[in-house]
Order: sequence, then C-alpha cells, then structure tokens
Amino acid sequence: MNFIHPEFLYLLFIIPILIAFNLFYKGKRTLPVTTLFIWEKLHEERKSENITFNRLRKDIPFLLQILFVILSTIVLSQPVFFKINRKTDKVVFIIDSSISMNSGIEGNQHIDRAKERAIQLLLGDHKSNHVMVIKAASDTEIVHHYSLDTNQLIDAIRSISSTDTITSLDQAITTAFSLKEIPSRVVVFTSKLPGKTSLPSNETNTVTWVSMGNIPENNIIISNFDIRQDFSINRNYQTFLRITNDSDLKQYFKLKVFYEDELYEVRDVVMTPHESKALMISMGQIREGLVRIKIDANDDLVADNEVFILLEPEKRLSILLVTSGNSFLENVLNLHESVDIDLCESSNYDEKINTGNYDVVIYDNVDKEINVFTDSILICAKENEYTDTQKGIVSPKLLDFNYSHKSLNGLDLSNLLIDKSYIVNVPEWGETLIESEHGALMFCGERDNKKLLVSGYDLMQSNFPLEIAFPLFISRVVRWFKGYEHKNWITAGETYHYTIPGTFTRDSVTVIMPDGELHVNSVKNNLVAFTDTMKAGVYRIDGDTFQKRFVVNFQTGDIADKNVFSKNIIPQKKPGISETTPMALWFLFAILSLGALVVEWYFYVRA
Amino acid sequence: MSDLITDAALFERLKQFSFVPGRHVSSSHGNLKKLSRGTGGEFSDYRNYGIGDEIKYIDWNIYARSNKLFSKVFHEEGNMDVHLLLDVSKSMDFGKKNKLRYAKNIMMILAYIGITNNHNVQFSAFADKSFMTMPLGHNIDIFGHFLESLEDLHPQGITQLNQSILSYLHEQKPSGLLFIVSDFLDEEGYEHGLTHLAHSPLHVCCLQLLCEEENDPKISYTDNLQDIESNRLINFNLTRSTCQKYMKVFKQHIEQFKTFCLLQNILYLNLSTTIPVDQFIINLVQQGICKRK
Repeated sequence: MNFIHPEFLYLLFIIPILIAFNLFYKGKRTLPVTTLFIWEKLHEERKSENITFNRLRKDIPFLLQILFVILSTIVLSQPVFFKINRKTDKVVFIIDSSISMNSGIEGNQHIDRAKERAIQLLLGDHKSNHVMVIKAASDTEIVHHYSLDTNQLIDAIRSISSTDTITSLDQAITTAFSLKEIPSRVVVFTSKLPGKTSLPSNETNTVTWVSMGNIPENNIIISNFDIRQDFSINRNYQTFLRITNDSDLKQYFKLKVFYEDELYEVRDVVMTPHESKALMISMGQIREGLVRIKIDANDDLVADNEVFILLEPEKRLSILLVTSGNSFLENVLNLHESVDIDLCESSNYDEKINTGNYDVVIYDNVDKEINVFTDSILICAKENEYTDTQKGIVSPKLLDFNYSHKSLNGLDLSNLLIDKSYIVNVPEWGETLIESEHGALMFCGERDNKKLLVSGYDLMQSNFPLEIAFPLFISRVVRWFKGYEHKNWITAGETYHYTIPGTFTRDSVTVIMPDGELHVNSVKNNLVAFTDTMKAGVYRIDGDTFQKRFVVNFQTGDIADKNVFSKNIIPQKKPGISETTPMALWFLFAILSLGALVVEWYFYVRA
Repeated sequence: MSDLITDAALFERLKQFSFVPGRHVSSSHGNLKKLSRGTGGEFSDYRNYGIGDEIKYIDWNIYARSNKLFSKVFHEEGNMDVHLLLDVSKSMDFGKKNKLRYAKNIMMILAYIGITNNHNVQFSAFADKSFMTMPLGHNIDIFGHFLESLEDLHPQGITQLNQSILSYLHEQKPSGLLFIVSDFLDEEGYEHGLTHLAHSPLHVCCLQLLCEEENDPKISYTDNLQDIESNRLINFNLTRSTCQKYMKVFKQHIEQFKTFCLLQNILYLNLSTTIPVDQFIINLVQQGICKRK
C-alpha cells in the first residue's frame, strides 16, 4: 500500500492528543444535580447489568473518535493498493512543462493534473518498474534517473513546475530512447497530440501519450507582437499586436498598456469566436523603458495574456549603399532615424569603404568582385561566392518562406512575384529565407561575427518594394544587424547574454527573477550568461557597479498550436508488462469514517 | 435584577383573593383539631364523626335519618394564623429558571393574600436544621420590609426536612394554615416531619417546586453527577436510556409523595418553574385553598 499524500499521515499525532484529552479532561465533565439519591437508585440497577459492556459502551465514543481520526487520515492520504507486477521494466515519464500546461485554474492546471496522474501511474502500473522522470521544457532535463524508490520519484515529479517556454516533445522522446538503458516504454504527459516523430516505428509504438485535457476552451492569446518606429518625423515607437480569440465565445476585454508599471493606455476590445485581430498602439514619445501589454481577460490560460518590451536608446547604424540607383531601398532606409546612409557607385566603393567606418555595406547589383569583410547585404551581386550566376531563373515558383526567422517573422509574402533571379548557395552557417523550386533565392547567416544577407534577385525585378511587407522587412533586417535581438528581449528558455561594459572585477552577479527570487550567476570575461529564463517577466541583473534589465516573453507559437488531444488517450497495454489500475480505497475509508461519526452520534444522543 | 415580581397590577389582583379556612381539615378520627375558630363561623361541610370531636357540632338530624354521626365543618374566618415555610437549601438554587427565585415569589403572593385578609402571617426560611422566622402579623406596612428580607435570602446548607419541621413545631407550636415550599428531595425522607405536621392543629399545604432540569433532564456528555448541596460525586454517564429511567423513577417518587400527602390529609400542589408565577393563584383556587372575595 502506498499513499498519494503521505504528508497527511501526520494527522495521526492527533490520537495521543485525544488520549491525553480523554484522560485529563474527562474527570472534569461533571453535571450538577439537586439530589443524588434517585440517580443512585439507577446506578444500583445498572451495576446489576453487564458491567463490562457498560464500561465498553462508555468508552465507545472515545474509541470511535480514534477510529474516525485514523479513517480520516487514510482518506486524506489517499492510499492505493495494487498487485505486484510480473515483470520489471524500464519506463520513462516525460512531463510536458511548456506554457500550454499552465491552462486551467491555479492548483488544477494541466501541469498539476499531469503530475498527479504520473504519481498514480507510478504507484500503480509502474510500481515495480525502474522509472525515470524527464521534464520537457525548452530543454530536456532528466529530473530523476531510473529508480525503484517511489518516494524519491514522487518528490522528483512534484518538484517539476511549469514554464513559459515551448516544448519539443520529440527532443525529449529522442533523449529517452538515446539513453544507454533503452526504456521499454515512454509515457508522455502533455496537452498536445502526438505529432510526427522521427522515431522508428517500433519505438513509436512504445510511446504512450497521456492527455491532460484540451487546450483551454476559453483563451485569448497575444499570438504575435512587435515594436518599431513609425515613419513620422518624430520616429515614434509603435507596438503591433496580433490577438487571437481561441474560443467559441464572443469575448469582451480590456487591453492595458503599462509604461514602467504605470498605466499608459486602456482599450476595450471585442472579438468574435476564433477571430484574429491586429492592433497598433502608438507609444508616443517613449524612447526607452519597460512597456508591458496585458490582456485583462479572465480566461483559462493567463500566461499568454502578457508581453514585455524593453526599449533601449537606439544604436546608430552606419550603412554604405553601393548602388547605381535604387530609390525604393534608399527611401526605406532613410525612414530609420538611427540609420546613417552613405551612397556610392559600384565603381568606387572600394575607396569609400577604406575611408569610411561603416557597420553595414549593401551591394546592390554590383558587378565587380566582392570580398565580404564586414556586415553586408548582397542584392543580385554577380561576382561572389554565394551567387550562382550560372543559374538564372525566370519567374521562379516560390515554395517556402522562413517566417520563423526574425527578419520575416509576422510578414506576409504570399503575393511576392519575382521576375528573374539567381540561385544562391546557402553555406552551412546560413539559413534559407526564400526557397524556390530550383533552390534558395535568399539566405542570411552569421560567421566570424559577421552577418550576411544574400538575395539572388534584384529588388527592382520583383514586386517586393511595392508590398507592405517591404519596409517591415528592411526594418527587421536593420534591427538584425544592430543585434538587438540578443540584448534585452528574449523568449522563455533562451539564454540571455550580456557583456558588462568596462572593468568588472567580481566573479558573479545577482539576477533578480520576476517573482523576486535571487540567483547568483557567474561572470567570465565580463560576460553574463543566464539560462534560467523559464518564466516570462522582467529580470534584473545586479552587479553592484551596474544594473541591467532584460525581459523574457513566452513563445507565442506554442499557444496557438491546435495539435492537441480531443479526448484522453488511454495507455495501451504492451505484452510483457503487467498493468494494474491503482485501487483508490480512500472513498471506502471516507464512507467508513462517516459511519464512525454516525455511530458516535448515536451513542451520544440516541443511546 | 430583582428576584421578585413587584407588579402593582399583580398586587391589585391579589386583593381579590382570600384563604378558605378549615377546608382541608384532617378526617382522621380522634384528632383534636380545631374545626372552626372564633364565633360566627360559616358552615362548610360534613365529615364523619371522630373521637374527640365536640358533641355540639354533631348534626342530630342526619343521625336521626341515617343512624350515623356526622360533624359539621366550618370555615375559619379572620385572624387565622398563616405560616409560610420556605426551603432555602442549596438544592433550591437550581435550574435555568431558578427555583428559589420562583419560590420567593410564591411566598410574596401568599404573604400578601394573608396580610390583606387580616390574617396573622408568619414567614420562616429553613435550611439544615435551623430556620429564620419573620412575623409579619397583619400589618401591611411591614410588607415592604418583608420583601427586602425575601430578596436578601440566599441559598445555604443542605435540606433536612424532618428536623427543620420538627424544630419549627417545637419552637412555634403553630396552628392555622401552613404552606411549605420545597422540592422535597431529601435523601433522609420527609415522612417523619410531615406526619408530625399532619397531626398538629395545622392545615398543611405542601407546594413541591421542581424545575425543568429535574423533571426532564437532557442528555449531556458527562461522566460524573455532583450533588450541589453536599458536593458528593457519583460516576454516571447520561444516555437516553438512563434519562428515561431517571424520569420513570422520579415520577414514581413524586407519586409516592403525593399519595403520602393524600393519606395524611395534606394538600399537595406540584409546581414547575416553567409555569408563570401568577398562574399559581389559579391552582390555589382550583384546590379550594383560596377563593375570590
């Protein structure tokens, strides 16, 4: 027999208190009467009755009290009984602790139910199995290695908490099967449907998916957000939000914008079922500081209702645009207040580069040979190692856009038409942005601290400059070159890197978490690398001589994932494994304790 | 808060009542009881002739018709001695509706009726073997002082009915009408004292006062019962069955007392603190002790 909540066994300490109470206090329970001689007559009569029974009957309420305490303790500690399994196996429990597991009310979220179900299975089916516990968040973490010690395993399961990160369950499952001791079964506790796995089919069969329920039925999601400067003279910041009503109900709620924790703007929002709506919020003259946007909706998953943006004084970017004339690109770049543009013809750009100190060089339709020695953008450049001028394609059919990359995230390029393009050779360190049926047309990447974006087609040979996405794309690219993404704005689970300016002699800094908890983080060569970013919110690095803030946001794509269970999937039995359902006897004990109460009441009142 | 109900309307109502003298004189043959006092007594009833009855009260006309001797019985009028005996032992200080408080009001009512009807009233409170006496006479002026004394009475000692009554008889040599208010729950019994009372030249009326807790004890989580007079403890657990048995035995005890009073020609009146005090006068009228003027 095991207990799901063994901590309640401490209630048994009430019994000695009851005994002491009964022994010492009992004698004081005296009822005054006017005369005793009538009672004494009765007393004599009772003496002639069965004395032993009378004594027992007198003590029955006390015995029932003890019995009631014992039964109540058993009820609360929830014992489970099970049969001994016939065979010992190695089983891995994978508990999804991504943001979607935060669904539900506090205390009964998917993650809580997952842990409870895992403990039940541990005490039931897998009592005699060697069980390993894996936490699947942005990283896969082995919480407890194979063990037969259920108490330790229960503690390990209970120690798992949800995060605001996304989860790759495939990665966790792959980790489980990569272990030296390959498990005979993997049990995944999640709220998602099993996706396509890269596992061999025989291994896939040993994976049991245990659903923790549907995605929240009533959920409003900030499914995407971005911040950029507008095209006005003042270059004010604008926040772009995409909000999705992922429920069957019409939703009314308030959208609140806070600047440095003070309410900045409130908007009433109405959304029809399953509507996705884009909102733009003007930030006025705000140039730096913390902006928090919150949906004030009482929905099932609150973690996806809040995003944080930390604005810093904008870094200036000096760009040399080598072109024989590209007014679209020039105008769009000029819209960025923080960008200084210098123009030159392709004939004399070498001299210009040598004399100027440019952060980025854009080669637009340059025929000469190009040696990339700084951050660069190559647009239909002829003489370079990345553009294959032998493969010119007319009206290429576009197959895929890498919207997950920061430069294309949130853009719509479905209407993009290209008249003519070269194929680009994507190096190992590069990431394809636009893919055609003949090969990549655009890629970007970073090598030796140099960033490079290569486009195989001339912008003027496409309708891209006419698309709304074009200025946004250039804006993203500019920001990518500025390197803001890795400064103060990361998604949950990512490692935050910060280089402490100047001389820093200490070997550690203190990181203050969003919930106020303090973490001491080591510093090497002035570099802080902080990994415990599982929760969304504002983090502060305190190094005595400096203070630095950064924000962590949840990964929006995970919430909108519809790939979830429509109903519970019951684990299927596998030959060779004896599975028993834990017999939850607490209900029986609850009935017995109620019975004890009734009998006690009878003895006191009715006897 | 005052123990007594000093309501002007109540006293106004009490003025309408008077005691009926000699109504319950013993029928025991040979008892030399004074059937009527003074002159001008009002004929009340007949009873069988007993040895010691005066010959002048024999109704010879009835004897001529039935060949049996009957004595005439007369009401006593005016100047009758009225003795009020109150048990102030600790057992009277009991009950949610306190018995002693209730008994004090009964004493007040009886005293007032006596005084306003020109009777010679004497109040006594007893506990243990001793008693405190306060002659009131028929002077209404002393009634206020009597009420103050009544208020100041506190429960004390244990009930010793027999010895208290005998002492009273010995010291006061009373005659007339005697009311005794007590719970009559004395371990040593009441028979000896009451028998002497019954054989004295007194018309005795026993008012047995009980409270709800005595008549119908509630089940409670208890282990001991304690006598509030002697502080003696007995080990006892109150259950429904024991309570039922107690009530049965208690009723038997009451019935025995009632029968004893009947046999001794003592008027018995059972009072409960749950009944309003002024209701008590109605009981007196119903029992023929009082009448409307």
